[in-house]
Amino acid sequence: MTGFIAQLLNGLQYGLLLFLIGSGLTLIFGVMGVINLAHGSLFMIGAYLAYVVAGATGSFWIALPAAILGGAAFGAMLERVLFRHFRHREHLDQVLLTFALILLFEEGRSALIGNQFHSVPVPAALDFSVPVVGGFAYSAYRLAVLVICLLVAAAMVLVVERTRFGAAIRAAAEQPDMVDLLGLDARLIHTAVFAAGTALAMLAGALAAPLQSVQPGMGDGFLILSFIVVVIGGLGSVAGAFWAALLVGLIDTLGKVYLPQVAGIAVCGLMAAVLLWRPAGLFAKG
Amino acid sequence: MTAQGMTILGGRGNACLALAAVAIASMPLWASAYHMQLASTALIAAMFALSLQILAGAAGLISLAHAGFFGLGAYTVYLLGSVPLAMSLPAAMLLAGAAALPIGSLALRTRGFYFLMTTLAFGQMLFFLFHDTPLGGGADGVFITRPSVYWPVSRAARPAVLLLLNLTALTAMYIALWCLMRTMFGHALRGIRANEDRMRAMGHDVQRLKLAAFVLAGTLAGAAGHMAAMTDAFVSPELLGWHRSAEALLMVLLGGLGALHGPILGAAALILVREAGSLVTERQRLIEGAVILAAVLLLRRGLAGKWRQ
Amino acid sequence: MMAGGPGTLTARGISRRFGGLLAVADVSLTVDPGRVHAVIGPNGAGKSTLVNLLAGDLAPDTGTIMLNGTDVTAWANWRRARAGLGRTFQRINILPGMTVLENARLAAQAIEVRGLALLRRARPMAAALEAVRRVGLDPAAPAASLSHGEARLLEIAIALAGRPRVLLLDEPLAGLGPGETAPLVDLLRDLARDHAILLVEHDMDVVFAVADTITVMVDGRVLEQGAPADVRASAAVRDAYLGHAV
Repeated sequence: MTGFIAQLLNGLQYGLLLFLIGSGLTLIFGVMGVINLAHGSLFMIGAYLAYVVAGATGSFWIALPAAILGGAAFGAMLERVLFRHFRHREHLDQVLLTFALILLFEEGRSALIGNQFHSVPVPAALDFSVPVVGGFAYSAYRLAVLVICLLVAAAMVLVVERTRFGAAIRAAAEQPDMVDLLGLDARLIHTAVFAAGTALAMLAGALAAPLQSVQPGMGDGFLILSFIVVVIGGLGSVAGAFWAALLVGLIDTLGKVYLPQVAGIAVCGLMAAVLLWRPAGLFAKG
Repeated sequence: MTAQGMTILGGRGNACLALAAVAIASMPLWASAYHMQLASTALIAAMFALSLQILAGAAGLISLAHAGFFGLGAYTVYLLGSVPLAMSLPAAMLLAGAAALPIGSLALRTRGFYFLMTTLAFGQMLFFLFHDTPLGGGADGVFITRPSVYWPVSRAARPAVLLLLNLTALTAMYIALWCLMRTMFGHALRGIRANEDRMRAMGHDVQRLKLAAFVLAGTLAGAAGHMAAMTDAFVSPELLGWHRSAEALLMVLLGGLGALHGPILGAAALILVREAGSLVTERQRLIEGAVILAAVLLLRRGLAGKWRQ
Repeated sequence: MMAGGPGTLTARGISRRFGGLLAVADVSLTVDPGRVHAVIGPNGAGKSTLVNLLAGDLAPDTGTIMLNGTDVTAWANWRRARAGLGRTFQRINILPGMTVLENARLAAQAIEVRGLALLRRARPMAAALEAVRRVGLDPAAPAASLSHGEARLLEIAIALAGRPRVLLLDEPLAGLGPGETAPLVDLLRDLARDHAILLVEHDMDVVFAVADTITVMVDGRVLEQGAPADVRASAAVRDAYLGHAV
């Protein structure tokens, strides 16, 4: 039973990390109409960045804002230099261009940091276990990740639902062609959305660094799952991505533990089912 | 000769291809085993990309499931064990085509981005089927026995025999598709790519036409996968992954969506660039990433378009 | 191929709603063989929606549609095309990258060739050649190089190549210059001899010149329906649409 609770918590925590990645992806697709296969690589870059920063400064906590700020800057640069020009191209071109980016990111990381596996130690302040229920204790760091992700999710909901900027994003997501007519600065919105999405993905990577080994292929699994989250949650819907990410995180984690042979097939099957019978997503509004 | 929306080579173009085929066929006389193996890899890549051309170039359908059918064809060799080629190749095509039928029926209910995502989902389902379950013999792949031909083949002769088999398969596939594009079915596919809605308004059963193209493409991909398994004597779940599907799309794009023979040029170009790159640097992915960027940003009509000029 | 000669198209009680908007409300009309039935009305009256409902691009919420005596209400647009319904589009909707003849040939092929017969070599088809000649276009011209007026003719040729018995023409004169209108009107009269034609048009001179019956639509409903003289004389129609200049 305690094992099940542990896996449940793992699933939620995995799902919340997936939300960070998926929410950026869904906004990027919803607002800009760009298919970004390189999004999983950003997760990997965030993890390696955390490793480098934590190693250089001796403190893991500096790595988090580094990932956020670095991610925002990197994302803004990518948008202005590359994605701004991809927007109007056909799907085939976008698939291939972002596929090329995956390769270039991999190679860039390989050149700058190398291909080795690294481990980032859990920050000392959180290196203990919290008793949860009936003699079962869960890693404090993992709980912290849960909390941090929930805070980020809450902040996103606040920004998207309550600020003028968020309203602009929602308008742009619903009517991408109308953005100029609505008097909104499309370019600014696109850059901001891309920067935010990149920052979120890299933050997820940084948070995940102490949980698993920092390795070259760590973004791959997240990439497909993040597309599944975007589909199930509904394109452009942050709230939808939240619930979809939790669902997918739980199914994937529990599935890998209890039905390992079927887990991957089941999750992809769910994606196909949603695309065929509820293309607007399971959790989208309206 | 531009036969309405897609370039189909006429006498002179086909003569050039025939010349290239003869040159390749002569390789056992002058080339090393390594180079014959490389040529086989290029021929198989060309087959895989050519099978996708019916979907992408002819009907305008961008699918990320295509590697799934390629992998199914390859794994057929593993599943059948030791059998003659005359049995394994049709079996591979049949299995791949049989899988393409239900997947295509479902996926083709969607269009555009949703079609892309649906094919991604189904392709990944096939990947996980062979990666996570015992069906595929393991997540890391498994060595297989090659299907047998009519006469015993010595180890030394193997690269040459495989090269000639692959060349024959590619030639047969190209000729078959060349003829198909000149039929009313081929014209209908091109009409769908040009303006699907108008085709429907004209009275075409577009759904059935697309499905026929999807199944045919999947069947041919299965043949290519079979040849890959036979050549490498090794299969792994990676053959079914979306990376491979994206690679096939790349070869089609490199060669040009607008020409039937484009994928052959694209596959050759990609293999050559990779090979040349590996001689210069270990940074393979850098080369490949740069090539893809250049191809998408610069080549509007692919290599086939450049050749015509 | 279907039996030749003009056919019949009947709509009874057709309605279609989009969210809160009732685009077409309880519209009934009949297009008789050899006759031109014009549908007129201000922008937003629901004329295009009506054409889409009759063609099968949209399904009606209520009502029935009969084509040559068969109930086609539940049929998709391509099935109706095969049953003898040809249509043109208000916004030019041809196949770029191909010649005029190939556009028409594909339309002929859709009707005449099914199943495994599609594996035969593509050859010129008589119905396509006739259609292209009837509208007066050069078969070998690339569709992308046509002027607007010629593209409108291609729209009609594509519809004709399927040898339909009923034609739905959605604003075939839109965007034509003064010199191009007259030949097309002559063509319309010629086509009316062996088709049943439903014509949506804004050009009132043309409508009153060729139509045998006129339906006036306003806000999705039929305001007036009958012979041109009656419609012209109707006070309700004048107030709602024609104004007092006609």
